[in-house]
Amino acid sequence: MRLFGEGFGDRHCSPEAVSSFLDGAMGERETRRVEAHVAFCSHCAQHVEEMRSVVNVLRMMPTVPAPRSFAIPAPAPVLVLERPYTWWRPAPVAGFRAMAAAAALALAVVFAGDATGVIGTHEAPIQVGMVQPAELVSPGNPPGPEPSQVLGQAPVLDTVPDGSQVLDTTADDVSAQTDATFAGRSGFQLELWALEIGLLALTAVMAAASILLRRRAASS
Amino acid sequence: MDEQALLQASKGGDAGAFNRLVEHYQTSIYNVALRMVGDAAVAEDITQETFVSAFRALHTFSAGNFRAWLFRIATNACRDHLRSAQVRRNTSLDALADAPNFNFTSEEELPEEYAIRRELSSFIQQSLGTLPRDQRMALILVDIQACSYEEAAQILKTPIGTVKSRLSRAREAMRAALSAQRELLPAQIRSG
Repeated sequence: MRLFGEGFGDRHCSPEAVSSFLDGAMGERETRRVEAHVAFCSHCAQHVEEMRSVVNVLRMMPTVPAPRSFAIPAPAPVLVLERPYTWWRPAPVAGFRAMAAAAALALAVVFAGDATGVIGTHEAPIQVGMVQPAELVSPGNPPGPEPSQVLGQAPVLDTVPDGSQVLDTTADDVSAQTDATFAGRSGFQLELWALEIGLLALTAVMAAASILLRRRAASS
Repeated sequence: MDEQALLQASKGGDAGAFNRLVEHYQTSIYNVALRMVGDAAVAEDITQETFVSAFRALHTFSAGNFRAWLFRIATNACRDHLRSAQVRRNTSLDALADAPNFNFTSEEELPEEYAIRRELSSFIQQSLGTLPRDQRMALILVDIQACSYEEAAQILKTPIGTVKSRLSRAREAMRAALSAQRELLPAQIRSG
């Protein structure tokens, strides 16, 4: 801090020195220098007195009472708003994960069966769905296996001794072709390799979907 | 008042404990704001804002001078207000011209003395309004609120040397203003 003015020949106390002097915020040595100067310099003595008056007036400024209480209201319980539901949130992710696990398990079973020959061979495809037609049982017919009814062919009605007519499905032209037609309509044959590839693809898709959705859920 | 205990309770969300601190400091904060902006209504808003902000940010106050921390929030709020009010400077000057409702009443005071003191106070408030913001703030904190240099430096986040130089410039400006109105000064100061 500069104790005295900067101008040539200006040996009066600087305003900052006067201010700090009044507050007693100077070192002992500086304080003594200012005191010594003020003792013989009427200009600085007047400066100090005026500055002292200003400080006193400011310190006498009345304190204005607070016009009201500024107490804060008790905070209301914090409402935790439910996050808006989005379709990738946990439940669907868990579903995808479960499906991936199930597909992987099925793949493992099929693969193990394939390797050990329990399920079948590549030469003998797996039959999925119906092969044998449903039995038709009608009153008057002796119990036992009945050939299936060929679709699109009118049934033959026989007359039984009591005069009633019953459905006769024992026509000779019902052949192995009939079975093939039924199998084609009600089931299908599945190659083992196709089943394995299908399960593998399903596992991969479900796993990828669950990973993707989990990442989206984490980033949202 | 056990300030530390109240602070701990307030940090735990106890609004009652915090309001005891509010009661203790509200007059100081209101007066800082009032001297800074010169408008009673705005000072009220700033004071309320200060305490609400302080309650919300209480977890960031670890230790130290709580009064200085509150003053810092208040001075920042004042600064924000003055910055936004700069565009409506006329309003602000009108507000400064209207002296806030200072409490001068004293049983020994004569009506003439009361009138002079009221006029002096209005004049000082007006003069404060002409000071640069940083100088005004230093003057209010040190001379009106009786903060130490260290405390003022902490509140204003400036070195002590900067506080000293701002304060001396503000005092010089006030000295120049009051020299022209010596008749308003109390007799003991005028003669002293």
